[in-house]
Amino acid sequence: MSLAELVRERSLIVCVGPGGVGKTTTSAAIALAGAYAGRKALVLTIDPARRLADALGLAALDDDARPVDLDALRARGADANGSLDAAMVDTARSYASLIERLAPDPATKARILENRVFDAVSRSMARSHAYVAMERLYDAMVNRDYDLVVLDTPPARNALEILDAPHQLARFLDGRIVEWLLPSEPRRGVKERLLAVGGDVAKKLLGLITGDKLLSEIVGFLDAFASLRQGFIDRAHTVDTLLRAEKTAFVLVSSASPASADDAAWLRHDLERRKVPVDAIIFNQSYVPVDPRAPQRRISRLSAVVPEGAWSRIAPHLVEPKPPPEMLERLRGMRVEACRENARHEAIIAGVEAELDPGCKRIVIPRFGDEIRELEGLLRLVEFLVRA
Amino acid sequence: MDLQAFASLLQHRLLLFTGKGGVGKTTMVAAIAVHAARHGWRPLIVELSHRESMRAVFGVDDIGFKPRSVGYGVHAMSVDLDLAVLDYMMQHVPSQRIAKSIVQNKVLERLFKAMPAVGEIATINKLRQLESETQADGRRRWAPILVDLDATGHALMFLELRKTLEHILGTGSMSSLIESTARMLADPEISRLALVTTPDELPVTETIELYRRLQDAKTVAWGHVYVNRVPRTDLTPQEQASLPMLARAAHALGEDDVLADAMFAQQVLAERDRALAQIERLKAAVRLPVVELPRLSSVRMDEADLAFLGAIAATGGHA
Repeated sequence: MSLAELVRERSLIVCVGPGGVGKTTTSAAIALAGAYAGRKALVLTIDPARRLADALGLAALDDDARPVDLDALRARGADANGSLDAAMVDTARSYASLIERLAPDPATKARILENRVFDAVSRSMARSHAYVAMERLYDAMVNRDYDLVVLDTPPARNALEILDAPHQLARFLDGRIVEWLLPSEPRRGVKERLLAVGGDVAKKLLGLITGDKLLSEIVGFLDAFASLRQGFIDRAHTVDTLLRAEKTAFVLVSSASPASADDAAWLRHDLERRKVPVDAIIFNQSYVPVDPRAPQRRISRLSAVVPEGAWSRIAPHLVEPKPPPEMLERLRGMRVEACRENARHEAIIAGVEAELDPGCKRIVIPRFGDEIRELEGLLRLVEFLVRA
Repeated sequence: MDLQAFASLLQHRLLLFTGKGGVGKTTMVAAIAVHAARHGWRPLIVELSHRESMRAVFGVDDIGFKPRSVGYGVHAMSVDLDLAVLDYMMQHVPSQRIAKSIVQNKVLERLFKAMPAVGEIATINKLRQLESETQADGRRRWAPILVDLDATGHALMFLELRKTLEHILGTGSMSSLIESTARMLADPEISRLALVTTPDELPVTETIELYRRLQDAKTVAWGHVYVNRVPRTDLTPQEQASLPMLARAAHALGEDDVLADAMFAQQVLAERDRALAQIERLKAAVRLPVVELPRLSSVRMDEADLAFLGAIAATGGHA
């Protein structure tokens, strides 16, 4: 299915890929393509990308979904029903609002928000992002009426944490840990007493790693969290279903550099292992347009020979100080070198493509000389994406 | 430029590297390691990203939790969180059997996997272990240790661990581990944190932001800023200046091939100008020695490429 069809028909597009390949910008372009085709689209980015905010004409990208002004697009023939909102997943803020939604009463809410472990989790620790992205996704897909949500993800391996997060969280909260670690009613049966002993031993050993103070904060955190368990598990389940739904597409964004291609191959393989098909792969910044007359052509061979007699024909038309004649060879050399690089990148792309499922759409994007800072620039990317 | 700082770079026990994804951090680390090995050091690369990206650079099939030789006199390993936690347990629990049964306990395993801090602390413990290993002759087994921190977020997690946990640590062995590690990371005689970037807008902005944040926190001894893939040109300034004239003449004469060549060169020079402007912006904001590395055209680097880049990186181009 082409990307043009994906943005028209799917309700969730998840963009995964290595860092530094323009994944956030590509996610925005995909959402914009959806809006252009008449859908109510939302792009959820992972970083505040000021340049992208500028390109979208927004004051900022933050936790609030902000509408992008598409009047300029409508003048160019975009469907009038389309709309585009953009927001960034802000870990600390989303965590807090998640607790607010799930806490059964104000006392529990306060206990959690004041807990220091919670504070550490919500600020910077690993995996927080995936949990929070999961929550934002739930909110966007279940509570709002978007037709298309495009989800940007953290680089490389972390990208797949969004797939693991629902299970991991549900397992973490499955109750047994809480039972083990928390003091409970006096236990009478043998099994219960054993469980209690197990819990004490576990607690002691865990204390060896974390120290008593941190352990008691962890236990306090778990205790308070226990009351939110069902809410979390239900959400985790819903998000897991959404991620694996027919109407969800996974798009792999890469570039043609060997490191990115290695990462992309790894991601593709891991998605396959999780039975998640990759619907499209985008190679960003993958060739240098070497012919200024045909800026979109992917050229990987060029004669190193300057046309015979060119210098003697041109030189009379140059004024002093004239450059040396060899300059023409050097100029040609620059283009030939760029073609060689294009050829090497082509080989790398071919290597990744050879392993792809035939149904997976491949899109190769050139290296744009300047960075995208206006809607116009983003549209140029959109054209490449939907034309393929 | 601080020549002294370059001369002694390899004498540091811990060289940390961070930077936005895709800026060539892995190549930089590999290059400095190859250079170090060529000069008689015993470099160990430690990857924390779980991506084992050194595999591709050195062309080896597997990099695991144990240091292995990857060629050119360099060793490398990748820290797996679960194994690091097991390691930590082994040290603190009297019997290996108990430690193993704890780690294999499904309930606790889940706790470890979802719990913050445990993985980070165990990783720091592993680094300290490697750092204190000695050979039979009493010298350090690994010197220097080059740590490939994942993206900047990951680096912050480590460098700010003490602050993050400051109110919940209490006293005890973990607290002293984190305290002493924080002191090591801040000691310019022992450690240096290098920032890696490319001369592009986004990576430069991220580098400046990270610098400011850590500068305020004063938690780290600074190394260099490496700017990777700086575009080069063989054209002399006079040739560069004559490009528009050449293009006009070629256009007027219908010399399409020469016109395309001249236009392409102008495109490349414009790109180079943008890169140089980004480097100026970086230098104005970051008060650290900035080392520029040329953009090499080979797609996969060989030993000579790595050693070439490593020599520039380790000496600041003053070799």
